[in-house]
This record gives sequence, structure tokens and C-alpha cells, in this order.
Amino acid sequence: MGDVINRYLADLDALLDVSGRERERIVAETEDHLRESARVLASHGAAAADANVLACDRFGDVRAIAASFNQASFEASLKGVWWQIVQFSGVGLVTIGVSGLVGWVAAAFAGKDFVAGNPTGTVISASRCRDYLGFHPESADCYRAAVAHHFDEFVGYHLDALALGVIVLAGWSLVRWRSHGSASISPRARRLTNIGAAVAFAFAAVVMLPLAWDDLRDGTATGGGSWLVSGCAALVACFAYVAVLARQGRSRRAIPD
Amino acid sequence: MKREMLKGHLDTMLLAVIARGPVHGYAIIEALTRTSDGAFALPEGTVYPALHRLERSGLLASRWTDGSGRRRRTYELTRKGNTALTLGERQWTTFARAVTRVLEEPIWAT
Repeated sequence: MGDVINRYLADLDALLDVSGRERERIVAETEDHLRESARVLASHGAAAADANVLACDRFGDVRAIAASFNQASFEASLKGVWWQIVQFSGVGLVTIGVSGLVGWVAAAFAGKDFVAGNPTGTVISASRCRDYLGFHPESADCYRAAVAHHFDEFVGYHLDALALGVIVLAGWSLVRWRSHGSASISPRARRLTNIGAAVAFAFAAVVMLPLAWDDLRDGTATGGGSWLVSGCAALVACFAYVAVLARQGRSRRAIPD
Repeated sequence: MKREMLKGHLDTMLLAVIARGPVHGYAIIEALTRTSDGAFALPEGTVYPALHRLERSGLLASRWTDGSGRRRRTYELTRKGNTALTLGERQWTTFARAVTRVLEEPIWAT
């Protein structure tokens, strides 16, 4: 009848919705408690089989016990959600940076107009024209100078975002490593922040891709490429978060009735 | 005793038991049951989430120890836990005194 304790532990393991390290600890601690309890009961005269059953009964209903562990873990990890948000911000900045790099590569093939061309009907004032030519004196005309300037801005700002994102993620990883991993963040809290991130990236893609379509259907020299690469980067990030969520969903154990 | 009555004081009682020296979960529950003459006979498993919560709050520290051929998680009070225990004891004493005074107040004849 040692099975009773093993079954209790298996049920508890299946019902826990906590991080891996915490799960191992809870199950090990519970096993130690149940074995000790059964040993003491047996030493007081209970039959070994009865002692195991009684030890489990005294420990409490496995669903209620798992629920209280899950609740405690979730409440604690809510405090850590902001840290997940820092991670999401880092990923967002890196995504923006990557879209800048993709835009730079796209410009090498399709021209700078594809990424930073002026929309149809744009009128450049004389003063702005002077400014643009001041930035890019090598340009043949005002329009070319404006495109070159906007392209520099596009790539420059996106690379700044990439550098900042890398710094944020490096800091995040360092603190996570120093706090011994993500043990304090429950899977439920992680799922919530991942869902938030997936929705945010999906929203960005849904806003930017139609803008890209709007610009590009007028021709490729209207700067629609910047929306296109940014929208695609957001879409890829959204899919990445959805994949993470799917993996989390698969790794969740089935909860027995 | 109703579980609700115990709820607000469980943390202080756990800290008090652990203040006596490093101790593992089973012994904590056993001490609670024994010293309260069984008044606090709550499901044993409910104590562990409370212990984990106290540890997350920095009031307890725990580590695996090897004893009697088994690996067990042993808890001990931190400095912060000691301060929390002193505060909890003071609050309980004030509360208990106040309740006792109210209960023992003679009923005035009208």
C-alpha cells in the first residue's frame, strides 16, 4: 500500500501549476512529510497500509493542497510580472532594431526609396530642402537628399533601439541568473505576460501592415518598405510568443479528475 | 477551533515554533498540534504553503539537510523573521488582553 503515498504525490505533481524547481521541492517535501507521518503512525500500532492512508488523509485533500500552493506561488509571482514586462520591453526594442537591419538590407536591393521614399504628393519646402542638402550635399537634388536623410534616421534610430534592447535583455538575464532563474515566477503569471506580449505584437503588425500596403500599392518609391519590415518583424515576434505559449501549453500536465 | 480564527495568527505561531531552532516541516506541525493540545489540528499540508510564503517574504530561510537517512527541508528564522515574531507577539498580547478585558467586564445591572 506504499502506492497510496505514491499516488498522492503523483496527483499533487499533476495538479501543481508552479515552476519546475518549486514543483520538485514541494513534491520532495510532501513525500518526506508523508513517509515520516506514516512511520510515526505505524510506530503507534497502525498497520502499514492504514498508516499510509491516514498520513495522506491528515495531509489534506490533494486538490485543496495543490490549489493553496498554486495560489501562493501565483500571488508571489505577480510581483515578478513587472520583471517579465522588462523582458518584453527588451524583446520589443530588439524587434524594432532587427526591423531596421532588415530595412537596411532591403534598401540595398530595392533602393532607399523603398524604405524612406517620400509618399506621393509630398512637397518639400525651400528651407527643408536646404536642410536636406546640408545633410547630404552629395545628393543630386532635394528629393534624393530627403530620402537619404530619412533613410539614415530610419536605420540610425532602429539601431539605437537594438542597442538599448540588447542592454535591457542583458541586464534582465544577469538579474535572473543572480536570482537563480525564474523559480519565483509561476507558469500562470508567465503565460499572462506572454499572452500580453503576443497581443501587443499582433496589434503592431495589424496597424503597420495595412499602412505598408497603402503605400506600396502606389509604387515602391513611397517609403512603404519601412512599414512592411516593421510590420513583418512584429508579426514574427508575435508568432514567436505564440510558439512559446504553445510550448508552455504542451508542457502542462493533464489534471486528473 | 475554526480555521478562520487561526488564519490571522498562523504566521506568528509558525515563526514561534521555528524560533526554537532549525526544524523541518513535519516537526513544525507536530509541535503546533502538541503545544496547542490539538486545538490547531488543521490539514497538515496547509502549513507548507504558509512556510513557503514566509520564506519568500524573507522571514524564513530553508535548506536541504540529511538526517536519519533522509533528505529533508529544514527551516530557520532570519533576522527579519525574528523582528516579525517580536512584533506578532506584541500585537497578539495587546489583542488578547483587550478581548479578555471586554469578556471579563462585569455586566452592569440596568
